[in-house]
Amino acid sequence: MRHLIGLLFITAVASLEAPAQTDSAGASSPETSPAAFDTADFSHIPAAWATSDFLDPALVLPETSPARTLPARSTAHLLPENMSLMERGLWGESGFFRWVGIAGDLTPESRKSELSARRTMLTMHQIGGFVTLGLMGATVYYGQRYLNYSDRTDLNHHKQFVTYTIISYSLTGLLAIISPPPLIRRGETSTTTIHKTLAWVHVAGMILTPIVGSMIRKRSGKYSYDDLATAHFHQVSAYVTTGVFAASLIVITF
Amino acid sequence: MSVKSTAAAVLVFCCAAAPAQVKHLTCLKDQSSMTYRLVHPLHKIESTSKDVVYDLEADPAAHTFRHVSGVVDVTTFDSGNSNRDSHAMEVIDAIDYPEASFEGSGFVQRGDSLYTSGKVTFHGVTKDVVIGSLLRWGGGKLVVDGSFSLSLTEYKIDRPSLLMIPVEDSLNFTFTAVFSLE
Repeated sequence: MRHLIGLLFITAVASLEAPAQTDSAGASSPETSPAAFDTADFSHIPAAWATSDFLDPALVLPETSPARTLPARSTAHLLPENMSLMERGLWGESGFFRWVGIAGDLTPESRKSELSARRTMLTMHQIGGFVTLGLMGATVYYGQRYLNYSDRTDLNHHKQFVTYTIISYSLTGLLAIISPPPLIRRGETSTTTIHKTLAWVHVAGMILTPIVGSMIRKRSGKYSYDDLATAHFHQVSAYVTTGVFAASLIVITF
Repeated sequence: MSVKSTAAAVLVFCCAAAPAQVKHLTCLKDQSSMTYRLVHPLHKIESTSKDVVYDLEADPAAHTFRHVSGVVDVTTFDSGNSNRDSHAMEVIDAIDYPEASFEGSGFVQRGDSLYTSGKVTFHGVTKDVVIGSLLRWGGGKLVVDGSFSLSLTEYKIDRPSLLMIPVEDSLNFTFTAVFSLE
């Protein structure tokens, strides 16, 4: 009878804890009754039993598999695969900023600082974009007023705002151009791609428009036929540049 | 002890200890994924990683589970805009914490529904979570579709802003894990 009780006890324990078994993949896995395991309350089992010689070690539940970790990565992942020539020249592993000491060697720590600087620069780029758009609007407004009413004061305002616009635009663009590269850049087409494509158009407009504007001469209080055509070209170029610039802001913001 | 009672005892032992086959399963990576959704008043962002590793200890015959884990390289999430993804990596300090992981060992099953309690480690912070999922057994596969939410603030992540407006605090994940049972 003692043996029978012993066997029944072992049966009860074995239904909770079962020997390990190796599956086809070679990984160690336990054999158990999971339904019982999931719902079983083990609190009533005295702790001493866990270390008791009474239990066959083979019956003790093995540790579950440890959490997997991904393979360690090299520093190559610190820079994106797709870097522009400018980024590579300035921020590459042996880029200009590292060479002159503005940026440190390519390490996780230095990249964290660079990404922080990038964030600040791009935030300023974003704010600068809106400021520049406001200045562009004012420039166009006074330029149009001068074309309509030939008031010298409007022309002076127009010229002032041209200067402010060029300064603001240049600084805003520079912030984006010299900012450190991101952590990730894939080759996909996105709003950023459209933003950058539109930038090429408004950069051309920002070069062309003031040059054409400086070519307009009002001789003896009147425009010549050629000057009128130039003024008209300047006007259209200014509107197109402002429109494209606004679009490049909108596409990245909304 | 009589022969009869010994035989009965052995029979009881054999029946009770009848082995339940718990297997260690690793997901089929090409069919498994994880997606997060982030909401900003101006945008709803979805970003998916196909580079997730899910491990499972389960009894395919009994449809029961013992342990589950998942780990993802956070830099592999792709929202279709790498500039945005790169910003997200800055926000979650991906250089310091390149992985997010989950380990679960508490299971409650209701039909095809499975609730798993465990711990998510993300941004270097570990928190308890409960993940709800739907199980589909068949065709030699187990497909697990599930979801859970995290609070960016609880994981010590500064919410990114656009036009000075921060994103919502809740980061919602959905995932699909496919395991071959053969």
